[in-house]
Amino acid sequence: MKIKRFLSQLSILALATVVVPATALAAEVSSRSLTLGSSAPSAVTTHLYGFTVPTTGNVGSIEFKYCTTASGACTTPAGLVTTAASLSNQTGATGFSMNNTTNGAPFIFRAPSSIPATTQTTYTLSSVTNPSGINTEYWVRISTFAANNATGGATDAGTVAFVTTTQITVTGTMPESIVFCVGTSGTNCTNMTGSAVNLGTFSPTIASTGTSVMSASTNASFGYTITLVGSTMASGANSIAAMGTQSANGAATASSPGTAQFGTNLRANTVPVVGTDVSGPGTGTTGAGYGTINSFRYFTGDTVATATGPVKDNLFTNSYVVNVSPDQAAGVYTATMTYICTATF
Amino acid sequence: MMRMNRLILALLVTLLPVSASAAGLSPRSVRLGSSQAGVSTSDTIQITTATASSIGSIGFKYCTTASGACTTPAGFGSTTASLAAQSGISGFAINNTSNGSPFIFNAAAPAVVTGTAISLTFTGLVNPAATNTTFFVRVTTYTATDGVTGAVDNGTVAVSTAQQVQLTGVTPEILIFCVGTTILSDCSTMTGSVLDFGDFSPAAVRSGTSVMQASTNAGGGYSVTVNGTTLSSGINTIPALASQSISTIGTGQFGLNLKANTIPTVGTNPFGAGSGVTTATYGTANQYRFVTGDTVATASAPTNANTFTSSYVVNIGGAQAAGVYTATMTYICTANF
Repeated sequence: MKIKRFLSQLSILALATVVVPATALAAEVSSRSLTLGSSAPSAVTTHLYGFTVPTTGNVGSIEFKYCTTASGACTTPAGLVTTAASLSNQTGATGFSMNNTTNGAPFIFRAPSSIPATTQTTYTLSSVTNPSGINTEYWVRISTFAANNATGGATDAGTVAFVTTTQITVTGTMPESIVFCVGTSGTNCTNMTGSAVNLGTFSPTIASTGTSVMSASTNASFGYTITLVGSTMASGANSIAAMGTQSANGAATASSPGTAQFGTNLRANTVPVVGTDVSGPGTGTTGAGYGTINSFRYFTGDTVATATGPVKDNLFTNSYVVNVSPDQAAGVYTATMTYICTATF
Repeated sequence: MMRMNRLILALLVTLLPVSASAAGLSPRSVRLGSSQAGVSTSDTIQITTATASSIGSIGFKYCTTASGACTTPAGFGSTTASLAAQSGISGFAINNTSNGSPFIFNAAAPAVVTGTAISLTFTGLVNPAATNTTFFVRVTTYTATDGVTGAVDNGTVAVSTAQQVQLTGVTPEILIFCVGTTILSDCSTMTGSVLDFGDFSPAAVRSGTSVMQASTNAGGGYSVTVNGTTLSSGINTIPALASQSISTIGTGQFGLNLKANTIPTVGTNPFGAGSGVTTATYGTANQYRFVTGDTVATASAPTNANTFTSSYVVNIGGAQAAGVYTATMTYICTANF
């Protein structure tokens, strides 16, 4: 019985000797980390290792053993591929080359030379294929060896964990868009207000002026066209002649006090002083007959502004000019300007 | 099990959006006849087909969003819409029964080729009630005539209502009148107030001119009168011409007219864009007159500017007392609004 118990104890001791890891006596590398270039399963990516060697001594190789467990027998994670890995960067202790022969256990090596204790090192392994598990934890056992072939007892060792994760796909739809507004004040369609422009009392000796504003943007492939629709200023049967050549998108003319004129353009004018040039990040431009300083016209249906492709917002200022001749019939003159923005998708 | 799979497959087919496999209509646009909110207007819808197919109907769904469940914009109306024009296709009629979702159909379901440009004009559509607001028109072509079945191509167009701008101004009652001795163009260039005839002589006529310009928008036009007294020096005067007379050297005369004269050579005929005219009594060349209060020029309706030149002549007899003779001419323009 005693002999049997003794043999049994010998057997347990032998097993214990075998099971104790070779690194049991190794010091632990500290400040160790593994930063994945991508955590996506099966992604071909970079693995950046960082750690501090605790023991002063020769280092000929450093092994990175990928396992499904932190300790014990090492099973290489399914899907992991390190046989195409390369050492793309190294700091701290350098001069290493890559050995990727054994899948799951690549090591870097050099002629053994000493690394002072507490040396902070980094090594980047490129072209590593992540394990295929989703939201799964894996471990890499890092060991330093005096020999340059990752054999013999490890000098220092330490384990790092990493996790592959589900990638989140974010989806949204940008619909067909047109943002267009008209008013008398404001800088964009969030603050545009007003609808009435009072041009005051007309005079045969000085031009009357006023402005309205409009903002336009669209994602239409062919941009937009803004047309102006309405009629010239009138008071009953009396009207003020429209400026410019009276055909579609014709020529514009200058303001001439004393001559009956009603016109508009989209520029910062000096004669008379009225208006502001187009502003904003968009690429919208003024129509041909409405884009010359101090030249005005009005013809219903004319194109006053365009954009030829998707365009951010532009703020257009419509400058109105009214002149009257001395025989212009007295009265209150009105006109309604309707701007229509048509986008072509 | 297989029967169950078939059932699920059938359900999936049923639940899939009809337009899921439809191709995009491009280019596509919707041009509003008016962008005013709430107004009855016309829409011109232009689309280009992407797929060669027969078209039994084309649906137009007006929505507050570009995709997803469609909510008809508040105030939008299509139940009175009519199809006023069609090009690229023909023979289609409108079904406007469902507000917000009109469609056009043709029982013949004509075939179109890829890239067919179609233009459709609808009248009687009422714009949404909100101003400066985007809404969307979802256009889909169908093989069937019901505006629902057999989607072929589709595309969404964004449209916007816009605030109308009301311009207002006042033309007041206008009378522009100025008098001087020199004018370059208009009343802003009028200068001078003194006319010096120099030394009178019984052997030669003396003459000179002043100018005046008048315009008004008065419905009844204007009249200009001349007011004053004849040339005098203390108690001595030069007789005014009480009736139109020619200039007679050696005879005491003071008179004027508004013409280009030859005897003597003085003056200029009225000119300008207006319709003002001289009166008969001051409108004959070489005939002069001066009676205070006389009307010298008139316009019977609103008129642009006319420039009148007053030509003065002075003759004296040999016994005319020596002295400095003066007269002040006051012209009064009265507009009849």
